[in-house]
Parts: sequence; C-alpha cells; structure tokens
Amino acid sequence: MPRYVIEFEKGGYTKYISHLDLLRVFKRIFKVTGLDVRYSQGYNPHPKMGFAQPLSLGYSSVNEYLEFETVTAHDTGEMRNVIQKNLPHDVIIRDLFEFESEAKSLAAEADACEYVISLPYEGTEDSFNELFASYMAQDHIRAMKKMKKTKTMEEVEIKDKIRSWKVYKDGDLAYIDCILDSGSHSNLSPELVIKSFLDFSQLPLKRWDVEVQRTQQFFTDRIQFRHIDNSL
Amino acid sequence: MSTDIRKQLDKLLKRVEKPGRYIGGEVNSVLKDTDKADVNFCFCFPDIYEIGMSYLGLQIIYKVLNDMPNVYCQRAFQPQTDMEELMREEGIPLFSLESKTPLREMDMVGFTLQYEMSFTTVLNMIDLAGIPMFARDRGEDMPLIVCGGPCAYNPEPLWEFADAFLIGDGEELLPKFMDLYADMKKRGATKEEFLKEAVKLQGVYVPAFYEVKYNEDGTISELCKLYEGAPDKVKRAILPSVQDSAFPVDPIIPMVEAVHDRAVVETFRGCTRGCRFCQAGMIYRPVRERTRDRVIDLAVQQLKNTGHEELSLLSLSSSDHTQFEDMALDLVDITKAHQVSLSLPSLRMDKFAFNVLQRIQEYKKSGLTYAPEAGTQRLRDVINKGVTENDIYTSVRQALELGWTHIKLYFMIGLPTETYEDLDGIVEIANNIKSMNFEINGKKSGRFKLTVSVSNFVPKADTPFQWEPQDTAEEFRKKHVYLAERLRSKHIVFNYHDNETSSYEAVFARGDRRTSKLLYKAWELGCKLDGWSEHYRPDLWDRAFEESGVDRDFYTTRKRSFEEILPWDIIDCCVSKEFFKREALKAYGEEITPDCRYGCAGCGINRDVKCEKGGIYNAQIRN
Repeated sequence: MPRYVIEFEKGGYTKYISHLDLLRVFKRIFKVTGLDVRYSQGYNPHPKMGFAQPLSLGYSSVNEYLEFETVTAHDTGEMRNVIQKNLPHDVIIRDLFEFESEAKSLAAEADACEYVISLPYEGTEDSFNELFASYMAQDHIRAMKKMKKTKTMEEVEIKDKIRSWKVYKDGDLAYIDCILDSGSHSNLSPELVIKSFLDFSQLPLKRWDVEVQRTQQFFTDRIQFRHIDNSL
Repeated sequence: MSTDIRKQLDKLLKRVEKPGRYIGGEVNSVLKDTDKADVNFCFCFPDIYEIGMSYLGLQIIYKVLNDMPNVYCQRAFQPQTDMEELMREEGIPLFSLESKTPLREMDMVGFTLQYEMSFTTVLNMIDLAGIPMFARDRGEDMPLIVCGGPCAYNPEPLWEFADAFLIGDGEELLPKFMDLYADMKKRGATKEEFLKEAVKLQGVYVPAFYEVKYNEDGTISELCKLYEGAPDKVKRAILPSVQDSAFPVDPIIPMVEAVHDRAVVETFRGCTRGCRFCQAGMIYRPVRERTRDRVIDLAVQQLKNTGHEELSLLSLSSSDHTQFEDMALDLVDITKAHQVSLSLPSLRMDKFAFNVLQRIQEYKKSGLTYAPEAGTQRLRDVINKGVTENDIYTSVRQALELGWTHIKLYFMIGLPTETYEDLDGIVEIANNIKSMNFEINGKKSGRFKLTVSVSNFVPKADTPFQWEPQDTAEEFRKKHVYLAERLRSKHIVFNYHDNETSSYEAVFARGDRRTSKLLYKAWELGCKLDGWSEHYRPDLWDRAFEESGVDRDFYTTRKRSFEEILPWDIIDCCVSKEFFKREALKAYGEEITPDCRYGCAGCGINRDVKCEKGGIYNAQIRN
C-alpha cells in the first residue's frame, strides 16, 4: 500500500487547536478530497493515519508530520494542492512525499524533538546564558510530573533527558533552543523544563508568558526520509 | 480600524479551556478587509461557541451577508466563564472571531434570540463588549444593536437594550437593512435618521418610536407613537419562496467540535398542523418548500464540500413535505454512497417511516421518539395535536417488533384545561407500552427502556394559548411528584424540567416593557447562560424579582382577557388575532381544527403572501 507523509507547519492561532481536533480536520479533508485513504478493518473503520508525535495545546510548530496510507498511488504534488486548499488558515504544508519503510509507524520510531522556548527577559544574552548554564549545572534537575497511571504528582529526574541546549536573545525575548528525549523509551515534556527552570531562576514570569515552538522531530535510524536529514 | 488585541489575547488563550473556540480561522470562515467594508456587522449568538455554531440560521445569515460585497459579517459568542473572567481582568473587550475586532468598533451588532433563557447572556455580551447597555446611552460612536429570531416576536423585555428588532425572515430583511445603512452612512446620517428610514422596511421595529401606557391594574392602556413615520403595526418580513433562497452549501466547519457537527438541509419552513401551543407553527407560516431536487442538490453539494459524516433534514415536521417519500429514499441511497449517516427528525411513524429507518439504521437501532404531548384524547384535542392513542400503539408495537429497544415519549404538563386524569393518561400510555413490550419480547427483555419526558407548558406570544395562565411552580412540582410516584419502574426513566426556569421563560415570553427591569437586575446580580444548569442561579433570580418589583404572577399565572392589549400587539405576525381567538374557543370546546391541507382554516396568512398548501389534500382527492 502506498504510504505518504505530510510535513506541515502549525502556526498563528492554530496552535490553539488540539491534537484530536486537528486529526479530525485531516480526517475530514480526506473525505472531502475523495482520496482513497485506507481504512482499518472492523466494526468502526477509521482511516489509517496518524501524527508522528502529538503537539501540546498552545505550542506552535514548523515541523509536524502526519502519515497516511492510500489504496492506490497518487501524484504527491496534486495531493498536496488539494489538501492545502482544505486546511484552516495557518496550517501550511511544507512537503508531501512518499514514504517507504519497514517501520510500523512514525510514532513508534520517534526519538527526540527540538523546541525553542521563548520568554521575556530584560538582561543581556550573556547573563541569560549564565543563568541557564547554572540551571543545567545542577547535579540533579528534578520536576514534578503527573503520572499517567496513578494520576498523582511525582518527582522525576529530567537532566539526562535534555540532550543539548543553547540560548540566545533577540529583542526583549530570550530563547532556549533545546533537544529533548521524545519517544516511547524516554520522554520529556518541555513543560517540565519550563516549570523547573522558572522555579530555579526565580524569574517573575507566569507560564503563559512563555511560548514554545517545536522546530524539529528526530526518529530512530530505522526511519530515513530520503530528502531530509532527520538524524541527530 | 481596529484596536489590536491580538498580543494580549495570546496570553489569555494559554490559560483557558478549549481556546480553539475563540480563534476563528475555520475552513469557510470569511476574511475581508474591515476598512473596505461599508458595513461591519457582528452576528452574535448569546451562548457558547459549540451551541451557536450548531445553529443553521447563523450559517445562512453569514452567507447572505458576506455574499454582499459591501458588508462584512463576523461572529461572536458568549465566552465560557474562565475566558470571560480573564477578559474582564485584562480589559479585553468582546471581539469578533474573524478579525479580532472589538464589537464596540463595529457599525452594527446583531443578536439572535432563540430562547428566552438567553436574554441575560445578550446583556452580558453587550457589557463584555464595553458597549453601554441602554440604547439611549449609546452615542454615534457606538454600534447599532439589533435583535432578531423567534423571541423577537415579543421584543418588549429587551426594548431598552436594542435599537431595533428585525422581525421575520432574515434573508429577506437583512440585505435591505444593510444596503440602507451603507447608503445613509455614506451620506453621514445619524443613527436616528437611519432608524427613521429603516422603519419603512417591512419587519423593522424601533421601540424608541413608541410609548406604552398602563392602566391601574397593570395592563396596557395604550400604545402611542412618538414618531409619526413609524408604522402602527410592524408586519413581519416574509420570504415568499425558499426554493432558490441563499443556502450555505459551504458552511463554516468548526474545528472545536460543535454540538451538531453535521450537514443540514432545511426542507421547508412553516407548518400546517396548527398545534395550539406551538409558536413556531404560527410565526413561520405559510409552508414554503424546497423541491425534492433542490433539497438533494443542496445535500450533495454540502456533503461534497464539508466531508460531514452526518446529514440531517430540518423542518417542523419532516414527513409533511409533499415529496417526502421519494426524497427520503433518494437520500438513503445518497448517504449510503457517501458513507454518511442520515437523520430524519420529527418523522410521522407510519409504515413508510419504518421502512426507511430499517434501511438507514440497520443493526444500529437508536431510540425512537414520540410526542403525544398530552395523556388523554380529550387534552390532545384541546391542544389540537392530531395524534390518537391508536396511532401511537400501532406504531410502537411495530417498533418493538422490529427490534427497537429504546422508546422515548414527550409530554407537556400544565396545558390549558388539564386535570389529574390527563396525568393518569400519561401513566397509562407508559404502562401499556411496557406491557406491550413484555408481550412481544418476553419478561426478560432487559434492554428495553422507556423514557418519559415531561416539559412544562409555557404560553407563548402569537399562539391560540397566548391568553392562558401558566401553572404555578408549586403546581408543576405537585404534578411531577404525582407522575414520579406512578412511573416507578426499572424500565421507565422519568425526566422533567426545572420549574423555576419555566416561569422565567413565561415572564419573558409574554412580558411587557417593565420586565426589562427584571432582566437587567438579574444580569446585574450575575445571571448569565441560564440555560446551563451549572450556571443557572435560581437564588439570584429570586432576588432579581424582589429588587426589581416585577410581579411574577401578573405575567405567568394570570388569565388574560381577549380584550386586553397585549405587549406584542405592536408586532403583526401575519396570522390574525381573530384566528387565535377562534382557536382558543375551539380548544375550550375540545374541538379540533384539521391540518389546513384538508381545508383552509382561515388563519389570515394568505392576505400577505401566497399560501400554497391550504386545502391541497382535498384538491388531490377531487382530482
């Protein structure tokens, strides 16, 4: 079965559209455009499609992936055009390509993500760099995380899940560019970094003063997009 | 033109639930340049996004107005409480979803009045927009506020807040209203100058051009005109035909799931059945149909454009369409081919309906709903509900035999002339259906469920029951208890409505200008979104009655005489008062008036517009 991947941006106000709502938007588009998307078997058939990684409500992204299967092969350029026409304003397709792989799904092979976290900061770039470096220099970085099964808050160690970081300033904003574990084996939500950093730095900021953008997604080496370097 | 609130908004949206309600940008929403529009109009639905976006009227008006090159129609809804609190805290006024323009910077703001319990929300939205509440306090720099919809047929409770009411079919009146506004705005006219011209259009009521005087007993003594050019009676605007009227085949598709996320086609407007309690059955006369071909064309186009997974027909009584059977069969095939489900509300459950339902529901049999409305034949004759017990039993028997397990029955209590015998009738029908199920499916049919829902009768303006008293809350309560005690069974679910709500509804459904004080007080105390049980505050409403001095019983439980001047007499719904009186008298005589397709009942609508359905069944028989 032909398998395709849409690479898209989620910008503007569409960062306030939830993961599930966006999935419904795409599902509807497949219906409108008459694309012969493959359906699962069973009592309640649903189209074979899925995002590589969910994106938290309120985050924008310039690098989202949606994969889907069709019954017959299609011209990717044409598909890209008809799908784009039916998308809400500010969801912009950057690429649509055929994807051949043994991997079960992109989601199963997700490995890490790059995020840019921005926040208002009055000081210089150097002082912010110093601040974040001292945050990272702690022996342990601990954050409270809500556990999925027990629904209780538990303290977790996150330092080893932050793979790399750099910071810079532009105008009134400071930016933290970081790569975090993001996969089934190890996962770190930017929320925990933000929370623990705000606690550590004592910056007089509220969570909603902070913006997050996903800039890149990485996969295990079992996934090779032929024209994109998605290895770390 | 607009104040830029986008930056502040971004911070708020991170802190609220379902921020997707406040962002616009949905597929088929319209982006225009506000600076280039002659009229910037904001359509407001006084409830939250998910409710408002399920309303077909919004989609129709949105299309009609945005098809006009000189008009830009945007949308606003009541924000959920978390969002409203933050907006007030941060000083962000209510804004349009499309361009994020504050409503107070618009030319015109329009509210649709679908139910009385949304009135406090209308006030709340005006206030949240930073617009002065009272029309008399709004200067030339503030938008004109207009209201329309079924509750505008008795506009008086909102008379102080709106500049004008637009009565009747919006597709007919709104474009004319907009064109006139655009024209006069260009010529630099004031609001008053515009309104003085606007009242020449059929359907425009400007409350400031009239004064109401009262007798000592509180009834109305006189309605005086303050502006000579205003009409003596405001006749509703009527669209003569809906066949080719604008219909949104490319509706806005919400990204946040609305209550009804489906394609809808209105098959006809109006109703010929003449149920005496039903306002919709009176104010939407005459019946105007879209042909089968047109309905199917609209359905197919809409499904193609939207990818909706459900198609629903809309009318007051699906089966009454003259080409219903052929049309329904076509739609069954079409929806099958598109893999969408078909829903046919308000069906008459005859042999044909079962055939169709068998085909569309197959193994997924959802519930079947019947609305006998009253428990005895006597009372059904009083309200002119042309259903017999035999009709119901024959139909329910068939449903049970075909495998439906969930039957719903709708009744109203507190109807004129009702006694406890009529309530016993409700119990009897429920018990008979229960036994019928045992007889057909055996004692062990555990999945069988019978839902009995009773709502409280609210007398409405422009119906034969507009003079009738409503039961007191106490009487309703007693009747609920009476029924609950007798409907105790593991197979029966008994539902009923809140009593206090029904009496507020009744106050505003037939209220005069003085009830605006109550409305304002209730809002001031914090009432809004009263239709939602989690927001509804009966304690505050009680205080509002006390502090405003409005006598509830005067509006609810008092029997009015035929001679009394009614607050809504200023509006002419084009069905004559004489007809309503005749029907009221026939009701007391327990005498029915047949569906007017069997012969014109003389409601008077054909004085203003061609009524195509009067007597057509007889004509068919003669031929």
